Amino acid sequence: MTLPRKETRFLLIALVALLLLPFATMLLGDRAWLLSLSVGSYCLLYMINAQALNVQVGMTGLLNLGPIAFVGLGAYTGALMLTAGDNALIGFYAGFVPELSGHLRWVLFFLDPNFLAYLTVIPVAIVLSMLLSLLLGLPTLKLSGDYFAIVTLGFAQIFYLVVKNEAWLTKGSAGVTDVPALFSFCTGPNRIEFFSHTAHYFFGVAVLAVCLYVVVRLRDSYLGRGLLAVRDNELAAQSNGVNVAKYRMLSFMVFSALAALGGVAMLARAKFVSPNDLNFMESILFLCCVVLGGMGSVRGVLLGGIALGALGEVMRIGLPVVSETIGYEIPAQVRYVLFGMILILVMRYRPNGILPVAAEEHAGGLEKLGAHRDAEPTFFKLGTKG
Amino acid sequence: MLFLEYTLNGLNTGILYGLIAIGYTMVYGIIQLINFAHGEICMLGAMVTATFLGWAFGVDAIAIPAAGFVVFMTLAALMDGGFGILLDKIAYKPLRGSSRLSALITAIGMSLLLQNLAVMIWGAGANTIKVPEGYTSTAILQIGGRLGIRITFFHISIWLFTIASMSGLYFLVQKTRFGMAMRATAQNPTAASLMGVRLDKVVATTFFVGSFLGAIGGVAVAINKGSFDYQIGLYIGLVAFAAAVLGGIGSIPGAMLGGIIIGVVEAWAAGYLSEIPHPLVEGGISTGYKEAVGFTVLILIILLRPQGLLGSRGGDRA
Repeated sequence: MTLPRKETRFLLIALVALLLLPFATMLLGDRAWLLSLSVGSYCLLYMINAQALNVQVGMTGLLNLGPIAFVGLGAYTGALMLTAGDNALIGFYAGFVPELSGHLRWVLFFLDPNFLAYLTVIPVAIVLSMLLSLLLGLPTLKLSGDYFAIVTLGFAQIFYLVVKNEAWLTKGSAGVTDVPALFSFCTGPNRIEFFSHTAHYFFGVAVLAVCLYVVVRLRDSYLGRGLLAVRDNELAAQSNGVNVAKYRMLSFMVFSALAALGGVAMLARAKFVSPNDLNFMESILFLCCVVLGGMGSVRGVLLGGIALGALGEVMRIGLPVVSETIGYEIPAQVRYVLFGMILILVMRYRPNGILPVAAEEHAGGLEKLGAHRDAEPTFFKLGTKG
Repeated sequence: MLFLEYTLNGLNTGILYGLIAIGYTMVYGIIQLINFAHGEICMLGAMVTATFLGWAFGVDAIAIPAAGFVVFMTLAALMDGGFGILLDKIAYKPLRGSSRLSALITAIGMSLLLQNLAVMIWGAGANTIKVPEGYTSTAILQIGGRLGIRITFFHISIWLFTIASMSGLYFLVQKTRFGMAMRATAQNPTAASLMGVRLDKVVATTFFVGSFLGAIGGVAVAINKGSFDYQIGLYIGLVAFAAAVLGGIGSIPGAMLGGIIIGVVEAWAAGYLSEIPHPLVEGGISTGYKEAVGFTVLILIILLRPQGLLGSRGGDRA
């Protein structure tokens, strides 16, 4: 099976557009530029985490209600490793690499001690997150969808409580502050102004590109066809020799690895992480992106992430302004009401999302196994039992 | 003595979790849906009660007549039962026959929607429910000093209400024709429908009863805690769901038993966690973990005994 070309083109164009965005909005003046970077980098986080979640929810049909625990683990691992011992990790690299000056600093950005420290943190975060998914995944492999969803939700809440209460490690409710920036030339008196605002944005685009590559390659491999088969009809997949437990674990581990990466991207943007970032609402927003875009559709979820990320951030910034203009205080929760309505309306009128998976992309899942997609468990339908 | 006090506190909260868990267990028993928005329905019950009492006796009222309190709380709970029916009609009914994932996501969306609509109506600050004078303060029975075991009118009334509603439910489900229809629907909706059971009526009644009890439970939890805000639904909803699963989802006595167990364990955790030495830090384990009790029990029970304590059927539940 070849890569669906239309999709590849779409994804490449989207990535290039995201790369060019800061340069385009520069022409609109400083305020618009900063605003576009703030909204854009926020959208990127949603796009990354939604792609990660899509592997599990969209491609394998396993509802995970606690993705924020894995994102948070990535962010906390990064924050704690980077700040440990007075930024010892960065100091360690600074002793190795030559000190550069002027524009050489950003041309040879991969020699930057801060960046090298971030690169060291990423694999650790990914491995820890995958271990956590193994820990949670192994005992829950046989659970039905509803129960799996509830276990992940409960797990994320416990993770939140642990982070909040184990202050000796995580600094408790105050969170980890003063996390070093992505590059040494992003802060301090000798910073390069342009990169101090855009470095985390470009890092986000790079992470998104990695995510998209992994997700598309996974889906188009035999492993991906196994995932789709498990989603479409577990029983049929099993009878055709697909090891359901193995594929459920695979999707969980791929999700957790990408989510940890998303967590590090989140950290690079905020340079701060606290238990508030592990809110249950965040998990629901990631889910919202996947549902709106179309479960299983890589392009759709990308659009879903852009749409909801932008909507959320624009409303967060815009609502106070609008409230002031019309003289009536619009509560900030309006955006959550909107997200709730999106979940309900999409499920009712477009259960496959705004950009559903096209038939040809989907081919090779169940169809190859000769089964039909009609045996999924239904919700209180006459003629079926539970 | 302390142990007795913690246990009694746990029993008092536990029956409230049980009342709320009944809503989860009945709905799951009939339509196999985790009604994620049930916690929000309970929260709405408490909010509406507070609003009614504020309208009737003034926001600053100190003493509220007992009869007025009962009347307005009942009114609010009946209204909340109506919300439950509406919730099913608007959100869940159009999805009958589609995938279970869709139904669950809709329920999550509904929970998000109701929670934040509540913020827009009542604000994000803390609310209190006014109670008649002496309702929660006058001890009928007091053992030990000022901080010893005390039983108030509030405790007596929630126990009476719980016993009455459990007996009422037992009578409704086991002894009436309509209860038979409910049990038949839970077993096999198609066959029940062919025997002339009106499924819509059964589902609507289930939502009404669950939401009514949930509203009373929500009000009582709010009174017990002293103050509450829009987020109360998320936590008590999840704990009550844990209780429903612990007792065996679909089983009404199981929901009550599960609620009581979780309530008691939670109270013990609140009392004794700080006495367990922390392996790495001076002082004991943080009492902040009290809230983790419900989730931990939930995960353990799903992993170890998914059919719950009183659940009869294995296999198909999880």
